[in-house]
Parts: sequence; structure tokens; C-alpha cells
Amino acid sequence: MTAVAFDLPRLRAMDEDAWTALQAAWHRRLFFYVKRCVGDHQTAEDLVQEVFLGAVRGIDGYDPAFTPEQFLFGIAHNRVVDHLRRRRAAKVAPALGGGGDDDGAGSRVWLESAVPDDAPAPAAAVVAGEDEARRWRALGEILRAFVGELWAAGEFDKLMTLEYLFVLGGRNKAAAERFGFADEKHVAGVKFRALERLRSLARLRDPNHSLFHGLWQPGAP
Amino acid sequence: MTGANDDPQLALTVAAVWRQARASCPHPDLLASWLHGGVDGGARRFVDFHLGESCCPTCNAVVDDLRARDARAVRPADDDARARCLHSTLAAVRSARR
Repeated sequence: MTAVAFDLPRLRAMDEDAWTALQAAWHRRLFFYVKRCVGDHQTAEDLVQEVFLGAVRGIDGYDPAFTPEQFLFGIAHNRVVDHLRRRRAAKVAPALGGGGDDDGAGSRVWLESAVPDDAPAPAAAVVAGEDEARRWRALGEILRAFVGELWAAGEFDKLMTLEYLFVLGGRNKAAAERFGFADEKHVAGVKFRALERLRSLARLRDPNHSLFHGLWQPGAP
Repeated sequence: MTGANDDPQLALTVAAVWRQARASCPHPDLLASWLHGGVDGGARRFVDFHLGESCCPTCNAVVDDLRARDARAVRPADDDARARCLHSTLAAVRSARR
């Protein structure tokens, strides 16, 4: 359903039926995602509306290397972050003597995203940004491949342990207790072997040594 | 086998990308099976963990959506919201086409 709903040429041609199909396929899922993040029903509705407006504005720049889901949920994530920043700023502004209105909140957001003095020049920043985006995309694919291996092997306890460590920031000792390992050294071993496998997959994806420089330096693990 | 062997820098990078890339998110079809009790054993424990303890917001949204469909819980108010949203989207589409 979603593959049909994401007809890129027609979406870029601003075909109303294509946009209607896209919204029919994704509206509710995006709504539940945003509602989970912001809590309020009405705010979630407003933000989802902004997500689709953002999609209309951004469809020309859509990179097919990303899935439609990543495109739409990426916009949704950004809208949620913007909203939470505005809300936080609105709470902070009165304490600073500001009015707490939209202008005040906007200034606060601007300050948070202001370019630091030691930031690289714009051109260098663009190149560095593209490299970083390529690395992140590659690492995402590597991680999905690695998780796929664990699924195929039925190693769900290992997968849970790694998600607990990496995503939730759990400690080895806590993981040992949570997942029934003999001790934290066993957990460290699982983590160590996972990172080894990720390095190995990264090397396979980087034959020209252009993505993960650190992997190819003398003495690299 | 702790300390340097853990490679904190790589671990930090992995942590940052894992959620964003949805590295361990089950396919929506599998979440639908899970919802209907069709997933057993280790896979079920993992999905329980991923939705519950790990609190994946995207997969939880998928499950909420599936539950809403199953329960035919779409209220008229939701339809109104979707209609308003579609109206504004199509207005933007027409504006972009000009």
C-alpha cells in the first residue's frame, strides 16, 4: 500500500490524487507518532498538518536513498522538536523577564541554533555535512544488516541486550541482571563481538577507504 | 574485556544511529502479527521489549494505528481532522504547482 501511495514522479508533479493517497496511507500513523511525542491531541493534529505541508515543500529535495517512511517521519521528528523547543522557550521566557510570546520563543530557538564562532566556513561545512550524512546512512544500513543477521540466527536475547546497551544506555552490570547473564564480563563480550562485527561490515562497505577513515588507520582495531 | 575493548566512541555513534535508522524496528507486518498473537518465543520477547522497555516511538505509533484500525475506532472527529489536513495539503500542492 505504501509503495503505491508514494508515487514520487506524481508527487513531484504536484498531482492531487497522489498527495491524497499519500495522506490516506500515512496520516494516522504519523498522528499516533506525534501524539506519543507531544501528548496533546489537538497539537498532534496541527503538527501532522505541518508534516504534510513540509512534505509538499520538501518533495523536490527527496533523496530516494531514504524510504518514504524515513522522509515523512524525519519531517515529523523535526516538527516535534521545533514544537518542544518553542514550548520550552515559552516556559523560560517569563522567568527571564520576556513576554513568553511567539517572538520571544523564536528568539530563543534562534539562539539555540546560532552558529558558533569556531564553526567551519560554509563550503567546508557543506562538504563535511555530506560526508557525515553518507557515513550515517551507511552505518544505518550496516546496523540493519547486523540486526538482520541476529534475527535470522534467532539471537533475540543478544539483540535485546545490544538495544538495551546502545539505545537505552544501559550498563553492563544492569544488562547482566536484566537478561540473565552470569556476570557483566559476559555482557562486555557480547558488546565487544557486536562492535567487531560492525567494524567488519563497515570495512566491506568501504572498499575505497572513503567513509570510515578511522577503520583503516594503522593500529585500528 | 571492558574499558578500551568496548570502544566508547564507536559505541556512542552506534547508539546515535540505531534509533534514527530504525535498525531493530520490526516490519509493520510483523507488528500486526504480534498484535494478533501470531509471534512466539524469542521474537515475541524482543517485540515486547522493543515496544515496552525500549519504548520505540515509531513502532508504538504503528501499533496504535493497527489497534485503531482493528477496533474501527476512527471517530468522526478524526475524520474531520484528516479532512482539514488534506484540505491544507492540497492547497499547498496547488500553490506549488503555479
